[in-house]
Amino acid sequence: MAASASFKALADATYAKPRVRFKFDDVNYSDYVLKIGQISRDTEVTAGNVNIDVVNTDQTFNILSSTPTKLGNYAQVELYFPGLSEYESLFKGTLEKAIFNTDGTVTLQCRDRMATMLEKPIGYGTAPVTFAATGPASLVWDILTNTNYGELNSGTTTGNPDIDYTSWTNWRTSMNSQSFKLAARSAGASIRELLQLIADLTNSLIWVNGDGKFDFQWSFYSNDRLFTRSNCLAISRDIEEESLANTVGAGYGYDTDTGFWAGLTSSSSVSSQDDYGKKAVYFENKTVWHATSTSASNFCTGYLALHDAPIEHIYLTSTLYGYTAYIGGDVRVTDSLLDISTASLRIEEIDGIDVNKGLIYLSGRLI
Amino acid sequence: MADVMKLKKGATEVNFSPLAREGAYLEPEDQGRVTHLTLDKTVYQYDFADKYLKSVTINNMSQNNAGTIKNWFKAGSTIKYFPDMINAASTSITVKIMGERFPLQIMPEGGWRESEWATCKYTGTLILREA
Repeated sequence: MAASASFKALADATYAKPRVRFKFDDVNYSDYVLKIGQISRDTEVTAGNVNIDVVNTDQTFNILSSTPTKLGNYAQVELYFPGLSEYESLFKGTLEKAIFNTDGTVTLQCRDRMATMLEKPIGYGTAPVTFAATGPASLVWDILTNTNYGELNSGTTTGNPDIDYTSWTNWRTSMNSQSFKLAARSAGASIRELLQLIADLTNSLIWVNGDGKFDFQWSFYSNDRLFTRSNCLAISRDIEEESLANTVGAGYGYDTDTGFWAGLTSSSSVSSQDDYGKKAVYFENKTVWHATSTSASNFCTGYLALHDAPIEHIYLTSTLYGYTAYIGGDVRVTDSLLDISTASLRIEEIDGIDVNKGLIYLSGRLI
Repeated sequence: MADVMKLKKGATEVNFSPLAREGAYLEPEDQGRVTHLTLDKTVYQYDFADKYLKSVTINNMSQNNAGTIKNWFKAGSTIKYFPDMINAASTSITVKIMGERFPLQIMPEGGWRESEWATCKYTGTLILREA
């Protein structure tokens, strides 16, 4: 759920009283918390782990030892401000391991709630699963919600607890605008691998957000917001051409029976080849592929636009306001010392959320 | 200079001085409060705790006073903390000493022998939280 305007205003205030609530098994254990480690999210279709140190003087957490079935239950870290009845989830995962330390504290190791599901394989060698050509959004929906695969909630409302339905429908619109059609055949690929391939072949980002829901973003989706030096404690930058490509090819119409492709489409940037030399990349994956020439062609055009020049990465350390930025979102910063103009920055990774200091570590690329 | 800070429970007091003598301490630091300076020099201050929370680093404390604090710590007692005896002598805050282990240790420089334990000194950081 997107934060309200009031919540964002408090996150941007120069004086604020942020609070962190820790719930385990739907019980508020905030008073027991000694320290919450950094929370990270990335674009690798998962949320990061988080370690939470709690006091156990009254032996409250001994229940984890006496009732091991408690392991695997939900653990959630939320940010809120007194006076505002709104809790924004920073992390929602499951308790994986409890370490009873010699000093009487307990370290709760929690991991992304989707982590186990993401490792589930689909199909196997002698019985592969084939997904007929369809839009990427429909393909992802099937993988995530089919009772044979992801088994997530299939509710088509914003109340879906597993999939950010608004994000999914916006992404579906973007995918339809590109006439993307994908087909897939899995002989043991994990759900994580399939989602990553779909994201790669559609110039998209798929990840699990702080509320433990799947989120989606097309790399060309406009989502601009102002983010200035007054919100940044540090900015650094690098530029690289390792992932530069000025010829992009993609196979389409793979025939799983004959092993032949219907064709290959490609796009090139002559000016980029003149500037940086010829660098080609081809996509001919036989687990997920473009079903039509138009789909492959539009993918190549988009990929080229993202990669035909050296990639410039920006790393930000922001105040709590950075919480309102999210993966796939655009922010604008200016920094004359680093020669950054008002170009937009696309957030690709939330490297860490330090709830003890109220700092957010973001990285992304100039677009 | 007079003692400027003290802890008190009932009639029992432990006094602190900013000078390097019995109960010398460093200026108490706010816990649960962070201040950030952004690139354009905007100051952001976040208070993460509702309750007063200070850490006080102490040096050169007598065994007698360290023992008193240890008893308060072990019993989980609420005690009175007088943070500024010079400007507000009567102002006190009810606090508890926090932590999993007793925070004061024998100062290492002394090379204390067992026979000298009565005169050894203690050092450490007390975390005081409003009760």
